[in-house]
Amino acid sequence: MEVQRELSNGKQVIPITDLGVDQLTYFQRQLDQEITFLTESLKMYIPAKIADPNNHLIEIGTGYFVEMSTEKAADYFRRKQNFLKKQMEVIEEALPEKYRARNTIIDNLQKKINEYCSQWGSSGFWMRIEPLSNCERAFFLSSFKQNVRIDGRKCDEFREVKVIVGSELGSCLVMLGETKVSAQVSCSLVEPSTTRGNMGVVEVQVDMSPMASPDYEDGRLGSKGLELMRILELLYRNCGVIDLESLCLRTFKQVWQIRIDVHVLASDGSLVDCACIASLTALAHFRRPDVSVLPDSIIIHGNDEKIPISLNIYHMPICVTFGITSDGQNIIDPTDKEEQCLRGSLIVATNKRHEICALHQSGNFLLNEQLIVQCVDRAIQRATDVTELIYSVIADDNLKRSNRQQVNGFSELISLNVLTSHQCEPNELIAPAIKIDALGNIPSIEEYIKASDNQMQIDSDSRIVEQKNDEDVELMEQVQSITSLEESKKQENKNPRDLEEVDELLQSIEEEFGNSID
Amino acid sequence: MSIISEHGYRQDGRKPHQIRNLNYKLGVYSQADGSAYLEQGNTKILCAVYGPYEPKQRSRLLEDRCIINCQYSMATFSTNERKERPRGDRRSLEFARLMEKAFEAAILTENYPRSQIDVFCELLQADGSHLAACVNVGTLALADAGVPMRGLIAAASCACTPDGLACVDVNSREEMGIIPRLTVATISGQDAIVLAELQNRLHKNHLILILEAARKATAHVHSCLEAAVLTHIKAAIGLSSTTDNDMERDNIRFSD
Repeated sequence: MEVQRELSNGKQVIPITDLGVDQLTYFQRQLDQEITFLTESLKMYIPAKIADPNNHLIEIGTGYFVEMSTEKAADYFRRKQNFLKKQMEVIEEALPEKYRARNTIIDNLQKKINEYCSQWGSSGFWMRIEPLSNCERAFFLSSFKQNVRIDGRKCDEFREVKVIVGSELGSCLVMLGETKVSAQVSCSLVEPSTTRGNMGVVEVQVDMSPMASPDYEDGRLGSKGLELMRILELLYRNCGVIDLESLCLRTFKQVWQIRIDVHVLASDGSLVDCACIASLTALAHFRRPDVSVLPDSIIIHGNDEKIPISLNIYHMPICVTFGITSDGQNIIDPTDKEEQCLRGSLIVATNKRHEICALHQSGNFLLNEQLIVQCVDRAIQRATDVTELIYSVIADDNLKRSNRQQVNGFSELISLNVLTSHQCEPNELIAPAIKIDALGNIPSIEEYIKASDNQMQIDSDSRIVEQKNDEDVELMEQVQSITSLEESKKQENKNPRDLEEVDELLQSIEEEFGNSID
Repeated sequence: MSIISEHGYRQDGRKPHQIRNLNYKLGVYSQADGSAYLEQGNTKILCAVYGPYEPKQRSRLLEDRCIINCQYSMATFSTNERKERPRGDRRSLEFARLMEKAFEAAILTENYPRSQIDVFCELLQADGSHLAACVNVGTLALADAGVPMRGLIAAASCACTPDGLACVDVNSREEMGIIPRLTVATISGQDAIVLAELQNRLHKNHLILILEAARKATAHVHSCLEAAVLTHIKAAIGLSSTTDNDMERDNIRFSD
């Protein structure tokens, strides 16, 4: 009777998509109960022996037992088997329908939940990134009016720029406060377009890594990524940063394609500024292989055969982000949380020749001419400073490479804990090679003295004389090396502390030298 | 060749501070909520606005204001060389984003929460100053749709010659490769800039001159747009005292 009722209920057509979340949950529980009822038929069996072959005690159901003869018991069980077969046929038809209905309801329930989450997400409650609270917003805005910021800057001050070039040519990492962008430049031979057959091609690729910020999605640029890509393309294609005509090998057949890959590693505001400096430094650091153009072929020489050639860079446009508050105040180089308080931002790209390369306005706010002129003046000062920084970094790297010195590249970050401690020299990282050598000298001297003391007690006089000669030779060598270090230190304008250390070492060595003679 | 001749005239006979002729027609499409056709010299653009309506994609709607959705496309026959891809390339996407920024700053978006306004622009003939013409025709279409705005957005472009002179409303021959061009859009022609777009490099000393000339050009364009909207409203209400033909009245020609 119960099974038949369920079948009659199952035949009713219910529109599942129109139901709400609560109704779907109720139906899911009901179907779970029905499935449990249909599948609950497991029982335990144990082997046993028959004591009386003629009579059996048969369980009829609900705790009642009847004593029957063997023939009657066999007939009873035969009738019960027939009944169970009929019931199983009915259950086998109903159970798949129940499973299908349950899966459908679960799918619809999941869709409802996803829609609910997406509705919440669009109204400002993002799933992964923390929203800015009203207290924080009010605090930021009031501090802007007092010309004070959280990290100690004033409203017209920039964060510190750190530029590190890699050991591979054309790679660099720029840190602007907590914002970190890596840039890599590579080249390949391609066929030019039909409209500009005598010019090379510049391609910009931006990768907004999810490592930088939780709201960046892998493979998608988003609004910030599109804006960054557009500004970089505007600078490198329209403003004439690179001499594209010098990249042509055969007109309309083969030209160099320069590809700039920009990876955002950490995002804390002023993303365009950091990416612009990184890509410019990578372009200045890049060298393309030398090429010989023969009448019927083109020979590309390797780095060991011929020295690679640097690109012709006409000028360096530096971007500056100016955040604009609701009452028109100007916030230079805003951080990520400060950007969320602002009405919008104006990005000005200038070079050190007092030329404006790009103007970009993001957000919804009203500009005026006076504000634009002020921002341009401030951006030109910034462009002069950053251009000098980039040139000094590239010059230091070129000097090291020309002197055949080891170029550490990005490994400096590990040895000096730059990425974790956020402290390093502003222009370039200088490896403390001399200090390591100086520290290494002290324990070796002590060990040597101990060994000589032990040997004097045991060995004969002739051996002692030989060892004394060895000591003298090694001491003289050390004195010469230290004097050469002192000369190199003077050239590099080291601190007076280092000079004092050198003097102390010299005095201690002289004392020991005198003692050994005695 | 130079943009300005030695006598102070341009190639098409204009002075440096003069804009081209503006021909317009409002209410071109009956199925759209607002529509406009604008000729700015030889640059011809059609625009249709579909007014505040409920967006189909629920995930895009905002709770406190409406969404402005702009689309810009160039017809394949609009330039001398046939254009293969009228929509979806990077330049049209840039134009669409810039127009969205400009309109969002001027439209009172708080009046229509959880809704969407679509603006579609089609460039029929290209002859320079495309972005400025798109903004102007979008403003006329939005006014025809009755969308409340802070003021009519007037846009104009301005080029700086190597001599340091400012030429407003440049055409395609004046848009040469290295001439710096600035496109400025203001509200009601006043010192409230909603769009500032610069192409090529411009020296700092010429910036104030170019900004001033561009703003004056936008004030000039705004007077033309304002007269166009007023004439259209009068024709629609029937306040005109004369008994002239409606078509002739709508096709009023404004020139400097």
